[in-house]
Amino acid sequence: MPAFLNVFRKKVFTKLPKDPAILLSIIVIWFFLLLFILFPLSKIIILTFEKSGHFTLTNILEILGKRNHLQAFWNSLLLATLVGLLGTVLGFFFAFTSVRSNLSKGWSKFLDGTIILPLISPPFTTAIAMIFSFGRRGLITYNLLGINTFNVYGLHSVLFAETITFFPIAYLTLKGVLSGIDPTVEDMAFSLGSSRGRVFKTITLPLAIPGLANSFLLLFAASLADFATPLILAGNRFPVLPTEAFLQITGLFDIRGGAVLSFILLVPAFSVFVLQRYWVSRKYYVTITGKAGAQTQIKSVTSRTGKVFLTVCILISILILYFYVLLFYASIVKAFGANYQITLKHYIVVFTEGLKAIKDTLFIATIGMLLGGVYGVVVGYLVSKKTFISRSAMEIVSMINYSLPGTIVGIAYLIAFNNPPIMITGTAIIIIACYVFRYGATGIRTTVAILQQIDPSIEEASFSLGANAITTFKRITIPLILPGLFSGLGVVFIRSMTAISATIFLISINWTLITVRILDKMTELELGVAAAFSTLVVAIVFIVIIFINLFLRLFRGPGAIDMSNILGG
Amino acid sequence: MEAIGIHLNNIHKTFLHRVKGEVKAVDNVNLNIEHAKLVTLLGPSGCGKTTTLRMVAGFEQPDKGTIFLGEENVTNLLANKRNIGFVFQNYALFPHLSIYENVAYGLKVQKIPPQEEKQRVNEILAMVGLIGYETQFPHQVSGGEQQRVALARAIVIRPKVLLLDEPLSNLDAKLRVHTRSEIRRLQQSLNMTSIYVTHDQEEAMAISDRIAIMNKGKIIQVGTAEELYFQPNSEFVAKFIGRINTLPAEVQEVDNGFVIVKIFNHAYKIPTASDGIEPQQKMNVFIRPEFVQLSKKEEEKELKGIITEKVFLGEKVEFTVDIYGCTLNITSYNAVECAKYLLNQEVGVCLAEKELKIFKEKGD
Repeated sequence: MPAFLNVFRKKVFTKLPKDPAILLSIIVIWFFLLLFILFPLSKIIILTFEKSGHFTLTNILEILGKRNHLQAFWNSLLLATLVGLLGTVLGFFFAFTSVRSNLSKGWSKFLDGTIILPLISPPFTTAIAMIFSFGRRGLITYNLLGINTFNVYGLHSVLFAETITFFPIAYLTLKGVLSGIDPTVEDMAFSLGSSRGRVFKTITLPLAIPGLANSFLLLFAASLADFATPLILAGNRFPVLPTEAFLQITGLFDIRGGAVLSFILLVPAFSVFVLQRYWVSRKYYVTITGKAGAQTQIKSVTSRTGKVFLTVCILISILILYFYVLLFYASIVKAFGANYQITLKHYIVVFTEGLKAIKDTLFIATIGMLLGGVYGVVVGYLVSKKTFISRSAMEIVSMINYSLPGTIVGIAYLIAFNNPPIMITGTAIIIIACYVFRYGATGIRTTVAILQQIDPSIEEASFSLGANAITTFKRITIPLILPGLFSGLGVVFIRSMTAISATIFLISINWTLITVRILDKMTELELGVAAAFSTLVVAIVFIVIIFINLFLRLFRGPGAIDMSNILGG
Repeated sequence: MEAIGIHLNNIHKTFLHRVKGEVKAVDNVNLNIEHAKLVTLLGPSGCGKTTTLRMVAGFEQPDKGTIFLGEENVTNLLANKRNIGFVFQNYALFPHLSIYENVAYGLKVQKIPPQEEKQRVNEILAMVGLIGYETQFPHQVSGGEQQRVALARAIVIRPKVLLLDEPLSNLDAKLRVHTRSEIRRLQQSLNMTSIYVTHDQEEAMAISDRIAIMNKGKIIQVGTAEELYFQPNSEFVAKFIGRINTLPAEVQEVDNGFVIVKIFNHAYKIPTASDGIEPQQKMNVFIRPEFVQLSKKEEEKELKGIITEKVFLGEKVEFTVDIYGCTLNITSYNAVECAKYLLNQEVGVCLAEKELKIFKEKGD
């Protein structure tokens, strides 16, 4: 037999897990991955390339032939590129200030706390606040500056709102990268006679380049997938793919058209996924080991430059805070822009007419969190601790729904589960499944991250003492990952609270969500109620975060909550 | 409990390496360990000793060959069914369990009644001197104490065999010496058949009944410490256990049972199996530093050299002597005698003929 065949055989047979429990869970997980990830996705692809049973490109050409759709494609790419660039620059500026300019603990906490706000808010928050500030009767444009010709709708607003919303991702990524660079390397460059500027240019920046590229891709993907902001702020003159796909389906009832548009969106989204996974992630010079380099007096910037940087950061943070204060204010006045009398009427609407949406959302988010948690732990455990054939395929497939724009996932579910054999459109199951297989991925990531810190010999020790895989998992693995797991669950919950892009296609009369109600109220121009709903979501999310932090402090477990996973959308 | 033997027959294990392709980690290993004996696998890092141990434990599966624990073929048995005690290099204590719970873990898995569990855990904790530590957590005790918890946890389940993977490498030098005699004492008093893995030759010599020297996945020689030191079968073993000098030589005469070689114009008669050695063949001759003597007398049969280094170490003195461009290490335990020899002095060098070794294969 040829050598490679031998190797292959060896790989196949020795890698089949011997433990029946493991084998069974692998089979079950694959069943669900096929059903809830690959099957819906294949539906989009089939619908895109099929017409009366034949392969065809006419569907794509037809859609792209319409000027508006082609424009939407280019607009999406342009917007994503700009958000990627601006957000990375802003994120790097914040990260550099925070890591390298001797910030006091208080300021550092203030910046961290404020910047996180956009990430944990429902997706419309910045957009609504933008309209309150810069709209026709906006607080800044009209009341403060007396302008009433300023047009808040268009590329400039979407760009601004998305940059403010998404740059925290860049900040968190780059902060990790910058603090991973051992300051003694910079000290060494100083001692060789470099000036501060030269050290930055020749040492700090080059070491951060993979991080910058990564952050650009993350922001690009986030902007590409963003549905809520352009829906509110883009207006008619700046169509983008997610909103076009949405309008195609909800406005024109053209499901095939929506599928084709989302397929077109899939191409750049998938490219970014591949680039990020196989190129950038391998270019890191610094690996974050958690082991800090020798403490040195960091001299990267003079204290005056540091103060200037800090001032700029504080001003931007204040702008973010202003948006949230404004949102709250709009929710307690009669009619923002016209009548500033304090009232609770919007909240009364929220808790009467909106009560069903609140209950549904909490119910779905809770169930989604629990199932997503179990799913995340099992898959995370399998892919990081077990070797079996199809392991890396499982890892990649489990990340697909998380990495793709929600619009694609939503449309795929809509198409896939609308007809027999599996007809779950209109039920809570479809929304929960969407959350589990989309946001459960954060549970997988958390589990993998924690498990990587646990020495494999700890489990081997348990085996050698006579415990089987299930006992070991129950008695050793689960207790060790529990605290981190809990924060992972919190992330699933928060994201379920704030999601809209996928689930907007999946709601029904029976099951609706707060975020969808916010959108309804926006389109009905009941901005006060929309603001009240948004405030409520921010409040719930805050309570959850406080709860998680208390829990973590109680158990002092590893794996603090990873904010970069909380991105709404 | 009845002690049993461990038998490894023709064990092979190949790993797929990303760069190097297939790597033979363990290459046709045969090893028989009698009951109640402690055998050490000794070798440089990457020689396959830990892989061999892990295959005995069941953490790795051999590609070929069989493993017997006593009469039972365990080759295809899962690790948790083998009833072995394993002590890990990094101890692998369960960080979320107290020391009592760590030790009791294996008994709980076996569903031992609580009363007996308590008694057995206390017995073992007393044996390793950890009474009073029950409620502490692994991170609260010292490295040496963690090591003893790991040992207690492994032996409380009364394993058929005890496997130890470099258990002392995370301890400081003093504690290492103390702990290794503790391990030896426990192993002997409990009559446990054991395999011990280390790369430290002194540790191996101190603790083992027998030592198996491994290199590049193969067992090179198995024997007691004395056998390996005085009768190494290869250059590799000779160099790995203790220190040895290498001298260039040319074969002059081959006879049944001995070989006459010429080293720098002096002939030496070396007792050795002579098959495969030809006259005029150039080969290396080896001798341990303590079998070389210095002298002031100008004798015929002596090599001449110059002392280039002299280090006084208390009970012994070490010399480095240059003979015709070749460096020779000499150890002398006669400090008074050594006072006569000074740096840069010209001396006679006398090789103990019976202790000269030649090896047919290079052995590395």
